[in-house]
Amino acid sequence: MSEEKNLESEEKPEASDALQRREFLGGMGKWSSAATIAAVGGAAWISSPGTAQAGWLNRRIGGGGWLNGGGGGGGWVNRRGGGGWINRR
Amino acid sequence: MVPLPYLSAEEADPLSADPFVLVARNAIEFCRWLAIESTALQWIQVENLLDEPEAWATAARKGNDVAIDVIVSDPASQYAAIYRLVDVRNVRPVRVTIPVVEGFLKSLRLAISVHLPVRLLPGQPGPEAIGELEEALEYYLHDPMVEVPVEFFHSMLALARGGSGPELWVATEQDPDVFALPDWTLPKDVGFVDQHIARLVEAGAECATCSWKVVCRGYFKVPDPEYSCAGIIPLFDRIGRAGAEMKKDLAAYGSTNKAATEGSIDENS
Repeated sequence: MSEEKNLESEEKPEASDALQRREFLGGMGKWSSAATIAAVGGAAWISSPGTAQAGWLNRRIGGGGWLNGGGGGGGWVNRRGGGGWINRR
Repeated sequence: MVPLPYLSAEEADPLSADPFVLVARNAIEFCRWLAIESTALQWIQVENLLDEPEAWATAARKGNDVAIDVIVSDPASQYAAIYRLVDVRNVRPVRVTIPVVEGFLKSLRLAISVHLPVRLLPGQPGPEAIGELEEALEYYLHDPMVEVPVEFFHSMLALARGGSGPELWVATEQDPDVFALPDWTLPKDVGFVDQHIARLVEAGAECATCSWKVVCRGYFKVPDPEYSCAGIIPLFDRIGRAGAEMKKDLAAYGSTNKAATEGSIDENS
């Protein structure tokens, strides 16, 4: 199995859990969708380091964190790579 | 590691291997760079072009997918022009950056209503703008219409909830160690923010005892170090309470989920 497929299989349960927790918070009727995403994480707006450029941003601002979904805060642009808010729209 | 440079159209090289942000200050520059494929180009920062519909018509045509950060320089009066970005948003990522000045809330609400992510630049807001910030925060936290991130609320809430995220200088993309802003007027020393907060604490500024010092790091003391955070601290306290409440809500989810899983195991055994 390729490294890429390994990564996918590792991320899916986490993403599914994040989605369920977001839905739970959303179902309470007192939080906006944006706030539930910030609270749960796993869905930042700048996405994965699919390019050298995004890699640069991840390294500079804290790789694995807000840029590619670890923190729920932060970026806005999904630069040539999958995953963030832009791709989910 | 060098900060991400913001380059003018004259300075930028499309063939560069080093990441950069292009600052477009007129429609010609903007449209020219929309047509350029450059893997080093991170996004285009667009200034003072909201009132030029032709530029946005060009940006709404399909081409490369370079992202655009639109500065709304006069949010109290330019809010209606944000509608021009709706078609652009359909073909490329678009964010609006809004300075927190009196009347900014109109632009914020409109941007959110057309699903555009927002970066608020709080600066050192006056009493009227702080009142609008409080209203904006409640809107961001609770209105079911809000589906897009509003920075800096978004990152501060993530931190308050106990998650990871950037502190305020980075969330607003104003940390000079990370972003080499073209209009930065303070010293460009490496570690500026560290030095800045250390100086404030040493001088006995209110930061010394502020519970938000770790995430704010003296942001609101620039440019005027005497600026009072009397209106800002309650805003951060509100984010803190929201984060704590969400943490509690998620703990309830954990209990519910655990009970459901155990019930499922019992049924299967």
